[in-house]
Amino acid sequence: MRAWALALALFAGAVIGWEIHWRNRGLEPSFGRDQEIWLQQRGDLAPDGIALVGSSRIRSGVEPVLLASLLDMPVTQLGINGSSSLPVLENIAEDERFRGTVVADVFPPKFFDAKRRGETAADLFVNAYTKGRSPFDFAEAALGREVDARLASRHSAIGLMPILSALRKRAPLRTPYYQGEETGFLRQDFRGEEAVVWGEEPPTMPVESPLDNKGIMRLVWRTQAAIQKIQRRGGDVILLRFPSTRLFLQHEQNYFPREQYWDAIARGTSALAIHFEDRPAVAHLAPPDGSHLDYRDAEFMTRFVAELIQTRDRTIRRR
Amino acid sequence: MTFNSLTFLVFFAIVLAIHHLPISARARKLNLVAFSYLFYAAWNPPFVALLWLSTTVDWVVSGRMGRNPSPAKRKALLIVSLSTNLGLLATFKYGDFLLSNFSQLLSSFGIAYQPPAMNIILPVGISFYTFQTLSYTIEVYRGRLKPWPSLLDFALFVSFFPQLVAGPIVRATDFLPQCIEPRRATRNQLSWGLTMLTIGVAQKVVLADTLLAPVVDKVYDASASAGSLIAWIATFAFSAQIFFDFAGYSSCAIGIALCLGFTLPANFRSPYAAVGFSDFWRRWHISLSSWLRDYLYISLGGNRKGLKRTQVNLVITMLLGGLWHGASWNFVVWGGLHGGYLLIERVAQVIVGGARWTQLWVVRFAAGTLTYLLVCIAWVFFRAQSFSDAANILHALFHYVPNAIPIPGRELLLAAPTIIMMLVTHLLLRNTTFDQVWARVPWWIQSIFLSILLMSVALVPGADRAFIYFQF
Repeated sequence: MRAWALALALFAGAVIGWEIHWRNRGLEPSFGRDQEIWLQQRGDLAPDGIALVGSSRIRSGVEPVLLASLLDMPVTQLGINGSSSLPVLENIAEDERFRGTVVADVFPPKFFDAKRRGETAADLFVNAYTKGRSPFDFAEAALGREVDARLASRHSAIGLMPILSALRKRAPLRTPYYQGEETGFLRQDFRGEEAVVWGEEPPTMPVESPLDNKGIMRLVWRTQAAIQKIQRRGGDVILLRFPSTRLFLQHEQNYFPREQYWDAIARGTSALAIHFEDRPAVAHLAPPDGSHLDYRDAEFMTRFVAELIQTRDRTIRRR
Repeated sequence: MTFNSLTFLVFFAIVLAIHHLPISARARKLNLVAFSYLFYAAWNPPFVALLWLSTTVDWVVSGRMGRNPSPAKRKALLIVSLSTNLGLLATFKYGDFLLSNFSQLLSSFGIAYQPPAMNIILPVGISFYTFQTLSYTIEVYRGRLKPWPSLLDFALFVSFFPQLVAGPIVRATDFLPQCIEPRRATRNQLSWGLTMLTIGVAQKVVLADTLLAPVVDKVYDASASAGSLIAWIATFAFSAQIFFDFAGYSSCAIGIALCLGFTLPANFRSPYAAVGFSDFWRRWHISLSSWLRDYLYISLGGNRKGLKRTQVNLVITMLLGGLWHGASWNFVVWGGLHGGYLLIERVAQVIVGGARWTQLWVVRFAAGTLTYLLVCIAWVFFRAQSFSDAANILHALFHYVPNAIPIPGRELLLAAPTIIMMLVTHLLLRNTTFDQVWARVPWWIQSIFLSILLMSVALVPGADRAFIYFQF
């Protein structure tokens, strides 16, 4: 047992030291158990509330607590990193109780993706929701939240894989610039990290598989079917193309030209479709990494979204 | 609940604390049964009824067998047990599979029949606990075991949470006698049990999920575009992934049981160091292969009815063994491949068995390498979601594929050393066991190793991957 006594002492020391190290670098506790948070949020979706669906762009671009206070309505963040908004939009469309507003982020590489690489994250999350949660799932989610609320070093960006990557590159491990909140909001705080995020390491863009024209038509039909179900119940849908810049914008325009893809969705559905380029209020926003808004710009974007919702629904009073 | 979860950490701490209180042996067993049922209910509470049904039927049936010397009546009672347990398995595990195949069979005759999907939920662990209770009734039927006098002991045997959902499949003859004496772990057992638990969790969470799964998933998700080299890498990586996943679970189960004073049988013995397929099946999922041998192969006649019948029995056993893993023809093909390998091996043994040159180390090494390669090829069917995925990967293994997906450098750098480390470890531990090696390591080195494992596990955030064998 002395081996175990020493092992536990070493382990405790390592955990405490690791935690102190990251706290000194400004890291705060973060909630990274995305699926658990999403399932909790989905279960809490208010029938007359606002649902934010899409990718990490809506997670980082719209702050649900702020939006809720502006509109005086419950807001639920249902964005899923690296995902199309369509599976969740369809899931909400099938939910007869929901009569609120869905703000759906259209992230072109996933929304217009023809290649099905196994099950997408959104499909997995929706399937898990449909299947229902076991007592174990609830217990694990609750315990996970308690641990995550107390340990900043639980952040996935400083976990085992990033450590191994840093060792391989012989580079220091950077303080993560994003932190997941319990509401699902992804607080991106670049703090001048732009040069590091972008300038030294431009990301390698993947090879995309855009839908052909037939695929686009089927996608439009599918999206409109979901939108109509929600609208018939008295609800509404807003499709939103979030800002992207530089390499990301160029990449997205190369594979998914606006005229062929976004315009088809905008014209072919009865949702309010807003492209960031068409609105001077947000066209100037420049995500530091080319794809995700800093939390300071997220505040601006959130107010913009609040105005959009109010434009569509005059019964909502703005504070 | 999975062993690599916070919930289990809390659960186990409570069970362990209560188990080591100064309470009676009976209270201790009651506590274990209650917590085992709670453990199972954490997945899906209503399915506890199935566990209880299997327990009750086999308890009653075996009790009556013991009191009834008539062979016909004993056989009838055995049939009741077999029907109940295999009926549960057939319904919950194979219901949808049988229906869809029946529908396809009718459509091949031009009869359109589309039944509504039954969407039956598969109760976790049903393949394991039904086989476990069947081993009890069959042993009672064969007269090798008298019906056990204590229902509490029997209920504990069936529901014992460390091995309830993914084995090892424990024999009644191994477990029930342990219930006679009060079970509490000695200090050494507690220490070794915690060590096995830690190693098991690390194998699963760090090696299988973090270092190996990414490259396997990447290739199998894009199987049509997999090139030859990447297909081989993914194939070897999956051989390591499934080993660490399953052996990791078994290690956890054995370790947890040991912390409670119970000894479970080893389930893996350096399987990738096997020379030949008979040897492989004496080292891989030992509890299942021995169960199939003792209760299926031997019941079919074993090797007692001539060469041809032996071969048929062998193939049937392996095909059903494959099907046990899942309701999919992929698993049947996997089992069939292993059946074929065993048949060829038997023929080879007849031709060259006993020749001195077969004992040369270079020949044995070559045979071992061939065994590993053929096992890996069979794993392709095990991992693939469909026949077309399996065909794509197999094609890529032996052909040039144009415009193949690029080799994922980062994933390869993580997977390759892990695979090599696993194979070297299996070779080194081929004729020994890890606990024998561990006992020779200085205690302070054990401490450092354990603390590194604990920290590695703590650095892997959020567990969204269930153990592979939970789906069986």
